[in-house]
Amino acid sequence: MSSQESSAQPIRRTRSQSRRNTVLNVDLNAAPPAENRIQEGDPIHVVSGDTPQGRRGSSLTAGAIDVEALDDDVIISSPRAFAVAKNNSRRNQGRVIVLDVDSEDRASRGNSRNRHRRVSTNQAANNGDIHIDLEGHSCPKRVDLRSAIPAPPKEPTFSCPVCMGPLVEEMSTKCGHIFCKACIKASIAAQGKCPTCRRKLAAKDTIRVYLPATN
Amino acid sequence: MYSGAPSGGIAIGGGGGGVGRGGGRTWSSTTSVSTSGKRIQKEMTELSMEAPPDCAAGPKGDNLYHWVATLFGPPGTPYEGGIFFLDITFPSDYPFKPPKVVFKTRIYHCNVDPSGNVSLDILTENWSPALTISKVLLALRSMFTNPETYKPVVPGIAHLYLGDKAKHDEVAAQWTLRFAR
Repeated sequence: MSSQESSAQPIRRTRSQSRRNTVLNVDLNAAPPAENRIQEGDPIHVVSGDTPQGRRGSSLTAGAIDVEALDDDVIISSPRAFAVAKNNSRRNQGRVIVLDVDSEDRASRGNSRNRHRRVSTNQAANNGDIHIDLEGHSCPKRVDLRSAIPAPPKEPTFSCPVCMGPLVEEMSTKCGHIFCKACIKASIAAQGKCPTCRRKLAAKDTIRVYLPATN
Repeated sequence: MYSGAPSGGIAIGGGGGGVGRGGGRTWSSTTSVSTSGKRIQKEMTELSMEAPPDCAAGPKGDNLYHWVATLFGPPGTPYEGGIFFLDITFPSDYPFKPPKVVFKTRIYHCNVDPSGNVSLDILTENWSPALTISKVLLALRSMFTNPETYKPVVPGIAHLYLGDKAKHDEVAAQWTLRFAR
């Protein structure tokens, strides 16, 4: 949980920076009404008020895609366990979308609120270009996370130290070492010692054990 | 399936061939059905996959119970640069009895007698069925760097080693140059 908080912090900051950048970009792109800028004097106010809706949206997504790509890299290469990433993948997507579309009142929202928020923003953005671009970008991210999850580890197989094969009728010595029944019987007959730790053993010092399955 | 393994060695060999497990399997099914044969074979495949450093070992001919091993003299010892050949003979009740290891290359060492017999505790009273040829080769390698001077088979060499190590190393290096190259 603490790692999530710390990882959310830089995203928030870059997002706010990028928003300022995109706003300034729009200002440069929307150069034609030069008289406006001269008259008003404050470029930021001009942009937020004056730019047409469609252009503003497109420039926003252009900026957002770059930042998101960076965020993706950070998330995938962070030294978190992959299993944790798998569990949080859905939540992370939700958070990213929220931060892109709605950047005003994000500071006081928990994760559960974010999920609700995502639904509402999806509905709100259905009429604009923003939503389509974001979906197109968030799909590859899901694929990346899936492919990054390693296959589950193989079930361990135990072999007998004497015959080096799979255990047959495994028996434990009183010193706790496990062999095939035939192998430990022959070892005790030959030397009277445990093959692993050389502890003195008699035939009665062994007991049949049943190894558990791991699943 | 596994419970049938000790009795049905030939059937298992055939099965291994069907799976496509290489020629070694089918070749062995004609020679050995015993536990010792199976175990020696397992060690052979293990050695071919990862041998200890500066060591090599394998069957001399088509007899699984006669091997030849090669040891390279470790750097920093008077045996550096030498190649030492050893004969390894497995008893029929291997691994419950130790293998016999004999140096075929002459070596100036207090634990190897003039006919090449090695005095190593794990090859006699301290043998364990859980030991393998790979571990024996490792022990021989460490014998090059640290001779066991308390119970030597050639006391003269041990005395020289303890009294005048420089002289001992000089003679050993001469022998290496003369016999092991």
